Amino acid sequence: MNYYETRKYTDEELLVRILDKEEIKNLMARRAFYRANQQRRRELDELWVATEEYRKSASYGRNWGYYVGLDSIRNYYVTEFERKQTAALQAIADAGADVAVTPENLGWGCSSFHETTTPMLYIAGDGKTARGLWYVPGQETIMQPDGSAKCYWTMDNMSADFVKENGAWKIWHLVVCSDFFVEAGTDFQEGTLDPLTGPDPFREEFGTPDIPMVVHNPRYNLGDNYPAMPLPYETYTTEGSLSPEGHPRPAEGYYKFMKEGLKK
Amino acid sequence: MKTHLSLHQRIRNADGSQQIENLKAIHAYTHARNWPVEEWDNIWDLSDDCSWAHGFGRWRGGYKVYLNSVTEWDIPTFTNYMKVYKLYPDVMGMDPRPLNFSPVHILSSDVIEIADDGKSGRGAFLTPGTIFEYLKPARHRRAIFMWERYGADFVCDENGNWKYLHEHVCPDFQGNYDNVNWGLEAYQMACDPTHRNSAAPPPDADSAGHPDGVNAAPGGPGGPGGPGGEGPGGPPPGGAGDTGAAGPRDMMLDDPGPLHREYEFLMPIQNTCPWPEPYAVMDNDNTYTPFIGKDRL
Repeated sequence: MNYYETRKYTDEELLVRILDKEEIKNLMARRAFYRANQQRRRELDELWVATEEYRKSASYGRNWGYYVGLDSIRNYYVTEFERKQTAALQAIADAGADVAVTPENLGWGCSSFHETTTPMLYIAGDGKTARGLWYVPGQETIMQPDGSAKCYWTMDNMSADFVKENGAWKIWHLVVCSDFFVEAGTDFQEGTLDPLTGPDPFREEFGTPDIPMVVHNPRYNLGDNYPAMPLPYETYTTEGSLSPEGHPRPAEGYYKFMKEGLKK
Repeated sequence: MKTHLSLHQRIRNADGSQQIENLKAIHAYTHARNWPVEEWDNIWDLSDDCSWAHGFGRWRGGYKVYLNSVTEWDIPTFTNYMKVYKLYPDVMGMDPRPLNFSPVHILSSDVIEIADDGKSGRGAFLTPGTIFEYLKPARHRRAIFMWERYGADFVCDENGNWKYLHEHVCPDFQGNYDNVNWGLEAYQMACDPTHRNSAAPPPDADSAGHPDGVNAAPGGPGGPGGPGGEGPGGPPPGGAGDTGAAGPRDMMLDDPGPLHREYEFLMPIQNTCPWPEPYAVMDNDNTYTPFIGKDRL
């Protein structure tokens, strides 16, 4: 395990790389603010890749699978979400709240924070891409029609591949994996040992992914090391990337015995 | 602003500051996976000047730091696995270590300074952390919050790579998600010495007795009755998990604690690891572990 870059840089090269890292940290912090404001459409328009070459291969991974291509990401992350927000707002209005069902009132009574902490970040040796990992504590407050709110603490790993597109860093592959969430005021100990199949309001929000698969199963804590701790690299390759193709599937032997051996 | 340094020095020091930020994150993520070998073999300067400290005290020298942070840390992760795989056979083939629990000490509010000579760096951090675990012999999952502060010193080796030299971990408070009033718990513990912090692991847990604030079990380091809780003169180190036939293990502390106390009902505010100020060279006025027999690195 080598966490150190071996290539040496001139002062000028190093200065560019220092500023690149700060730009990427700002990029992900801006995403946290957009996310808190539910400015999802703006996030995709401003912070994600825009050129056709990268739009097609852009991906968003969650515990239960990957959404691939910016159009697909937009469909579930913006369009479907706004449809659900509209239905929730309609239910609140129908229950007697004095609120108009209009686009500007979407998210009425809701709150969402997902802070970026613990950045671990490498710029590729060739300076064209970058890879980073953050830990993201957060909260989600979801208004209910009866005037109450469902409130959750959330704990996520967030990792991404970035690409420098027309001189600016953009999100290319994003993976946000939940380690756990717990409803405020309830005892975490009482919950399921199978978080991938147990109740999950956030999985319900996201809908069916393009590539359904186990991306991260916190039943084994961080045993799958996914998203992985990034390591220094010279140039982008699929292996080790945050794209679906870069996911290190478990060994075949494990699945063989899981499917066959344990059921005997 | 260190305008007395050349542009070259300032660029190198800015890079050093970013490398230290990464280094600290590498610690956070390897620790969260219970990967001590991957951490201590790679990012630590294990010389005689190395140290690791907690509320309960400090180890000095690479050997003691490595033994207590790697070997002693690994032992309960394997004993836990030997119990867990019988209850949950789907863990077969997995690295046993992360299955024990995941201590995720996230990093925020960092203050990092690089020495004028470019050979050392210092950093202070606040960590509003989390520890969680799913598959345990107790057959229920568990998660606690654990807020701490860190003070760490770093050195730059001959290859330009930054390494840890000193770490001081200062746990402040902890409790179960999400049904705990930690102020009330502190009051209960002050009134009743037998009251256990909700973050304390079960008596038979394989994390008990380990040098981490999670082990607030009576008699455990950092917990009531342990050296972090009562200080010198208290019961011998070692939590419930250490009370096997051999009894509590020798903690081999060079500087016995308490070096920092977890939040108690009646106590002054502690500033155990103050943030670093700009400095020229690492010496006894600019370090989280005072040197012995010399006044500077």
